[in-house]
Amino acid sequence: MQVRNGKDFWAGLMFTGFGLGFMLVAQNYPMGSAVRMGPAYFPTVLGGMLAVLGGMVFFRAFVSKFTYPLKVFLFRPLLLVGSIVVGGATYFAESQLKGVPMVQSALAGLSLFLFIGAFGPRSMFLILLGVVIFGYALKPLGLVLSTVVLIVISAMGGHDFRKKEIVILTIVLVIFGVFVFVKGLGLPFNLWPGE
Amino acid sequence: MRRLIGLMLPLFLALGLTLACAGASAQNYPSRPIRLVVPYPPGGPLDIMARAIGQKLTEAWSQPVVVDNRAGAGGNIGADLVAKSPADGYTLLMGAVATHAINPTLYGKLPYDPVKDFTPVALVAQVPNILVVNPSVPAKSVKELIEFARARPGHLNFGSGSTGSTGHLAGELFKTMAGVQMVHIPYKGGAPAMADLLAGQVQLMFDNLANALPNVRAGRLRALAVTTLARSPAMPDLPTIAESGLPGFDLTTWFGLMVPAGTPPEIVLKLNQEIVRALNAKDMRERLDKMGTEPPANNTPEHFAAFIRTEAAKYAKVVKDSGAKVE
Amino acid sequence: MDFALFHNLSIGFGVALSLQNLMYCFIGVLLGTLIGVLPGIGPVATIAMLLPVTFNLSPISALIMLAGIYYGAQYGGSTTAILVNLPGESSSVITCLDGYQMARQGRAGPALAIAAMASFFAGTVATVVIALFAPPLAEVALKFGPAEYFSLMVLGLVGATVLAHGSLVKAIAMTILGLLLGLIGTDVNSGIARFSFGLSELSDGIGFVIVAMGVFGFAEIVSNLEQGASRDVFVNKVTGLMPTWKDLKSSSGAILRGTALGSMLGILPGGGALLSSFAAYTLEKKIGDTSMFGKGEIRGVAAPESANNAGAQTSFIPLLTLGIPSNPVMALMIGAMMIQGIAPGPQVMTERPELFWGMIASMWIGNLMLVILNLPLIGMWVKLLTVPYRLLYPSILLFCCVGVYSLSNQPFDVMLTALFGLIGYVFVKLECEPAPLILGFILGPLMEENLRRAMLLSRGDASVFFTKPISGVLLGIAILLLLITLAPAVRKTREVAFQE
Repeated sequence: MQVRNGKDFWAGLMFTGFGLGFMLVAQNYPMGSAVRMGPAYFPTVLGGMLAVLGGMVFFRAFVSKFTYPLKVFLFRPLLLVGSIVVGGATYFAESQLKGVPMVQSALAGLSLFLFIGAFGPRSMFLILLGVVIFGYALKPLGLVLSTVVLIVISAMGGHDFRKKEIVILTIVLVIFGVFVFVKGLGLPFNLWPGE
Repeated sequence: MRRLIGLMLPLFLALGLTLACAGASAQNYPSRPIRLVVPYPPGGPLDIMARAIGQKLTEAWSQPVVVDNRAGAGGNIGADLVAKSPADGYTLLMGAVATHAINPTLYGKLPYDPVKDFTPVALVAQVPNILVVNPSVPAKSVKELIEFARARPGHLNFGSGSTGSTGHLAGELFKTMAGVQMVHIPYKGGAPAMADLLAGQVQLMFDNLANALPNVRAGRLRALAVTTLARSPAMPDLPTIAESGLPGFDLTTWFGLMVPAGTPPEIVLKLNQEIVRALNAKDMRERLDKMGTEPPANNTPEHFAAFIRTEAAKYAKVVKDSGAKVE
Repeated sequence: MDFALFHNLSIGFGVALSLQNLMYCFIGVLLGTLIGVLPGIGPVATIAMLLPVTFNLSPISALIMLAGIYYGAQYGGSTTAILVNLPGESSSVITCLDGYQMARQGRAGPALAIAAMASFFAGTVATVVIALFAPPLAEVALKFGPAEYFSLMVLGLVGATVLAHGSLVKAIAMTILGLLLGLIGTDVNSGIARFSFGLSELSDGIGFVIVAMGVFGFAEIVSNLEQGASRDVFVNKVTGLMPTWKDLKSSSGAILRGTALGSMLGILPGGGALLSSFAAYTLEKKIGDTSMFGKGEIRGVAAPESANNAGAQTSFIPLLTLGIPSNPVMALMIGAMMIQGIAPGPQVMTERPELFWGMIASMWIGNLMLVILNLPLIGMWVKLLTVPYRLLYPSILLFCCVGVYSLSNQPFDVMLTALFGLIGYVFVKLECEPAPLILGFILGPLMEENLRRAMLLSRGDASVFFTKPISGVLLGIAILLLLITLAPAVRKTREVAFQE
């Protein structure tokens, strides 16, 4: 049987995966009865429905009117495997790593980056990387430096990296950020490292 | 000349940085902004009082006191955050009966130790709850309510703002002491619970006085009693549950300021003195009065600590008797 | 009655038109617009920060300013929804669907203008509704118990499946996925944290802002960049700043219908404003020429905009009449009132009429100010879109990140948004609509809460959903709607099956 609709193929798998996943995790909570529903009742029912719908979409992929190639977006399975391995190791070795939080965070971060990098174009990886770094850098590095990092990295994800423009844009945004976010709205960000 | 500047500049920089970092000295406390963590979403009575006190402290010390709302897990998230913060007096917690008296027993396992991880600073307010019923319930006193409930086991519903709140536990204590069966209906916050109480979906509620008062005065709800041992100055005609047939019934919602354990005693004392001064200011007294309470007497850190200990013991028993539990 | 109304309104306008209160109204709406435009930073955070400032103001000035921030943020949220596909408020999600498409076609001006005009009209009507019908409407709101809410949400979700233009099955699946994602967090009835994997950051669920920024904002940026430098994201030729007469004519019906729906649904505490914008859009999709929906249909902007503004205004009714807040912003307003020593409740109307009527009058004035403020700004916004995309998107990213971070100062939130950006990208590539997901996400926990509560109250009797009149009617409409939508689909599958 030929897969005609690549999009539906993967969409079906995704839905089924989510549905089964939620059902599985929900087993950790008490189910209760239809009369006195426990915390697991609604998620299990919904998860089941989602899995069924996912199955429908999946099978429809084979008989669909529309044809899409099976390869919907860039996928680097090695990175995904790597991400799961590193993530799993971090999770299970949690007790050993308790004393070394830096290593634990670093491994978790690595797992996250590998995961993001497994899908999609390079531009997405860079943009999401920039966003995540910004979030974690905001307190230690301060608003100014984090903004610089974010703008530069995300601009690298674009098509047209013109150094002079980026520099001007960064300066403008830093000034804007300082005056609107910190001075204007009073958001509790420190401007520079270690304040 | 250049060499001199070259030497002096880094020296001055180092000195300046060191001075900036030495802000934890009690002499010049506070020398930078203070963070007041409120473990509940913005808008509740605890949050409002926290902001009011924060404002007063800001005025007194010319250093901003910034309220940081960290809601979740019945207050545990905010409490845990402060428990693990540096004990330099720049992170305060508006702890409450939930975080320090109820949750230790209600939640099997807390990420913080309410006694060891905190140094209490000052009690801010102790607010009574009142027992209100929807007018459809024909009871005009606690005694009549108990009779009504006994005649209809499992018929009455009582609402509360969340599982493990004082409203919930008051109901459970009432059930145990009066020997009646009622069904607890939890809500996400006092407001939806009040809405359903007005509509008659639930028949009674142990809501905090300030919230329930307007609707009582408008006649939409009937107030039967207060949950404190002593009558409330805001409603002196309202009997207490203790004097209405369930002696010893005593539950309040309280909250107060705390700092991480190990904070220098001079800073704790300075905070306490300023907070007590703030609470006794005319406008604060008015606000507290509207909430049905007054500034706590004899408000010292030691007194507050002793108070927390007795409350924790009391609630340990109430929670255990009620059978309420959160994983 | 007429004389009393006139008398009351004159009290109200007398209060609201004082120079001081006009100034506070202006500050409020200006601030509200600003934070509405900045994605992530919402009225709740701003009002919370400004509460201490209100301590020293008179009660009516404080409330006027805070209210101005609230509905000013609605206007501002629509602006970002149209310009860059970022819903500032949950109720702006629907505006993204057609508003952003219009912006891409160079019609951002008409979209913004219609949004402002529709909002003003709706605000005016809603103000009149509040003035005339506040107490009886509050009583109606009280009639909505858990069973009724559940049925209303079922109806809303069934309507959500109609929202998608693609596959019906996938739309339903996205709705259910949204429901499940919304369930992450602490369960009301048992207190257990579900699907949180032990992470305390997840124990209170995932914030709407995080999902919206990720799935709408980041995913959009990523898929735009993927298209390559050859295609312009925004058509550079702007075809005029104002809507054409044709636009206005076709929108007028939408505005009326949206206002009616919004006024009615806004009074329901919890989710009223969002539900009304969804409902208005769904209704429009069933009327007239629906070919352009999802591709830049102006009615798809007019209807939800009027609905959400009407809903925002009428959501004050439970607050002003019963002292019950319909959403977190109202809870803060209660806090502000209590600080001032006013106990919000039924007697505010009678004991402090200047407060009640002053607020109503100032709501209308605020709406007027917002229209006057926003219409000239349209030119500026449209100019902003001519900035080359390579410079625009890093700025959008910065605002989103700051907005998300400001929610609770946690890097985790930002990372989660990035994750949802990835998920959103996958959705786009697999042709799965994000709008039903968002509706399911917001309504899911409410639905479950009400379902369980209704069952608790009825002691396990499920028939209560049909025996209670309002609930029964709503469920009936939902089932009807489902059948109407499914029938053609069933027919189509049969055809496809036969063709094989």
